[in-house]
Order: sequence, then C-alpha cells, then structure tokens
Amino acid sequence: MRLTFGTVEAAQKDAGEGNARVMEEWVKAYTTDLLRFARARLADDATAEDLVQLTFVSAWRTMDRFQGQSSPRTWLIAILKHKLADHYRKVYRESGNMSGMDLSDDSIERMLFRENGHWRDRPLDDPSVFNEEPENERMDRALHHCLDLLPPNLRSAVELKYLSNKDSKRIQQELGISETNYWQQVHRAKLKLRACIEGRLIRGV
Amino acid sequence: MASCQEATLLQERSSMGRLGLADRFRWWMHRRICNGCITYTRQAEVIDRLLAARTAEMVDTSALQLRILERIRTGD
Repeated sequence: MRLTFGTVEAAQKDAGEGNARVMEEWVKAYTTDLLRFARARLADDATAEDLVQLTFVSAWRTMDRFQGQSSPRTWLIAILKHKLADHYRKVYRESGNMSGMDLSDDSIERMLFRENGHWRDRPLDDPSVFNEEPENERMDRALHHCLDLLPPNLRSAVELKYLSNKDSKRIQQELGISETNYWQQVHRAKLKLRACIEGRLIRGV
Repeated sequence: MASCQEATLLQERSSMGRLGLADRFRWWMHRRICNGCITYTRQAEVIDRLLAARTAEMVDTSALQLRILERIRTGD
C-alpha cells in the first residue's frame, strides 16, 4: 500500500496513543517500586518523588528506544539510577564549593587507629547485629540513620559506588578527583558507617 | 606488612575489584594475623550488600502517579 501523508499521520497518531496507554500502565505498575528504590537512597522524600517523576518523563521522551530486551521495570530503574547519580554528582560538587571539602580531615582515622595504623579498639564481633537477614530491621534502620549522618561529599562518594556499578574509574572522571582522593573518601565513609552502626547497635552509645 | 588502616583501605578497593596482585597478597597476609580486620571485613561486606540491595517501605503512590501522568500529558 502506498502511504499518503494522511495515512502516515494517522499511523503516528495511533502509535502515540499506544505509547500513552503503555506509559500509563507503567506509571501505575512501577511508581511504587521506583519510589521505594529512590527513597532508600536519598535523605529526603521530596527529592525522591522529583527524581521518580523525572524518570518517567525521560522514559516517555525516549520510549521509542525501548527495545523490550529487558523488562520495563529494569529499564526504568536504569533511568532512575542515572537520575540519582546526576543528583549525587551535583551534591558532591556543591558540597565542595560550600565547605572546601576538607580532604585532610582524617578525624575518623585518628579516632579508630593508633599512630602505627593499628586498631585502638578492634571491631566488636557480633554476628547477631551485622547480618543481612530480612528481619534484621534494627540493622536496616541503623544503616539509614548512619548514612544520613555522613557529610554530603562522603555520602555522594559512597552512593555513586553503587549507582555506577562500582566503576571507580568512571566515578573519578565524573567527579574530577584523583584515584587516591576517591578511595580515601569511600574508605572514610565506610569507616564512619561501620563505626556508627557498631556504636548504635553494639556499644549502645 | 600492611597496618590495619591500610588493610581496611585495601578491603574497600577490593570490593570494587581494584586490587593488583601485590596488594591482594598484602591484604591476605594481614588478615591471617589480625582478628580485628577479619571482623571488619565481614562487617564491611554485610554493609556493602545491604547498601546495594536497599529498599524503602511501601507507601501510597496514587497522588504521585496522578502528578506524573499530568506532567507527561502537559509535556512539562
């Protein structure tokens, strides 16, 4: 059949309406999953909602690129991860501008290690606290609480580790920092997180 | 021999697959003699897995769904 201008226009209109129906189904089916994913990685719920909205808007604009090779949920989560990574890159840059991002702040190392680099107090071994059993809600709550206490640059460094599939080279390039600085920040974040969880759940301080 | 401070840094780099052979050996040697770093490593790995798999509790998203659909309709 020879396509006339009218039939092309009609086909485009049908495709557009089809996409709109599909998108509406996706919004109903996946908003909760996406919001739970975002809220778990952000300190405030309003930003989580904003990023979920932006995810669907991006998906709507690029829907023709969705090939169906992965599930819609996987595709939407991948877009959301990009939005979260953009957010944390911005937070990282802004925290640097505001505070001068004092990379020489080694207070956590001095608190945990002697001058010879060995533990002052060895980590307390309590497997009933440090485990990932689904019912271990205390650990989950402590982890979220301690994440929220991290300075913005350390929180961003640690979040980007998981949002960028642990591609440290890429993160270093995107943040414009050296390999040494990146490792130092992720290391400090992990030391602080572990010590904070231990303090709350084992030492009771 | 690596100190505990260095060993914990090596653990972090290892969790992102960024350790060369010499550093892997130093880290392994250290953990053979340091119970504190064995405990640290186990706890850091638990934190890593929890951070990767985080999810928040269920919430009602019906209002958010309406806002998203409205935003898509208006092309905002």
